[in-house]
Amino acid sequence: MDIQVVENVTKINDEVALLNRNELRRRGILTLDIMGAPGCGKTTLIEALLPRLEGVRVAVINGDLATARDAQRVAKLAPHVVQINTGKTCHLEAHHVRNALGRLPLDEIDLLIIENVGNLICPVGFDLGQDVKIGVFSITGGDDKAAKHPGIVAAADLLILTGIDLAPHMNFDRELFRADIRRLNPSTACLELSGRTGEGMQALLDWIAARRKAR
Amino acid sequence: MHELSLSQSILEIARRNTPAGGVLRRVRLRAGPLRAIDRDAMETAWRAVTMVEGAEGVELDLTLEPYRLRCDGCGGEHEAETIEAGCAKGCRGEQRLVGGNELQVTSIVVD
Repeated sequence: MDIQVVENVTKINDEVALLNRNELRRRGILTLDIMGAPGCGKTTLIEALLPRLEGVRVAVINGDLATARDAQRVAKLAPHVVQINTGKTCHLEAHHVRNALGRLPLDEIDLLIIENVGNLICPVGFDLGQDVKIGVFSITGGDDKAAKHPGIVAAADLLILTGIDLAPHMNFDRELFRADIRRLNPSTACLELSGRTGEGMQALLDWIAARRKAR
Repeated sequence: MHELSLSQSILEIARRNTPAGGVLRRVRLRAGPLRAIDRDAMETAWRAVTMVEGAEGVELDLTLEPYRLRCDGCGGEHEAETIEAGCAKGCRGEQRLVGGNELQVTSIVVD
């Protein structure tokens, strides 16, 4: 007997993500899901962002396979940090975030930053309940990474290219990189910055402020 | 290895749609390239999940769909195996990604 089903595989995850989204929006919290490869500068970006978010009450959820090192770094700069160790799972899922929300004082938060597990592929397909998906690429990763990972580019509401202070030392073709992004997701902005030097960070702060204002 | 998480969800969907008394034999899955599903990894993950979940022997039929691109030059849409493909009609317009994110259980086979 052949039975037609037609059901999205991530339906259960999507339902939990909707619970997260409804709760976060009801409380007026803007939620960012930051995705990118290991070593692309996600944690450095968050470290650069936190001291610059004046007057914004921030919490951070750090996803990692095995360690609390990212959370330990971020905890020096943010009062509310939750570490999620996924063990063998290469991405965060909505239930991970659901559990983390129960450990955060949501009435005292304006902005929730979720640092996903370092991975350019797997996190893309799992809605967490975020408002904004941010894809992070790095100068040191090479100019072909957007083209090689179309899923993250197509899904992102914002793309960030980190490590531009290292550009003079790398053969990174920014025009090629930008052209690949235009082809995959022409409506997405791409901000180029350095968390280490702070160059370009103001544009990211302005982008976040605009998203918060639009809520 | 998101294939492991997906395999668990696929089996859950298939079991939920299996009528009482029926024996699940086969699950058909359709996936677009933006889901980055590797066929070998999916087969390995499916075997592992079905073994652990007491569904050993249930087959997974995976259909990997192509990208869908739209040509800025002629406005036509076409399927492509790579995002770097040119217009299927041969014009020189820039190609924009418009599809390839599907991930659905489409049917199950039950005895």
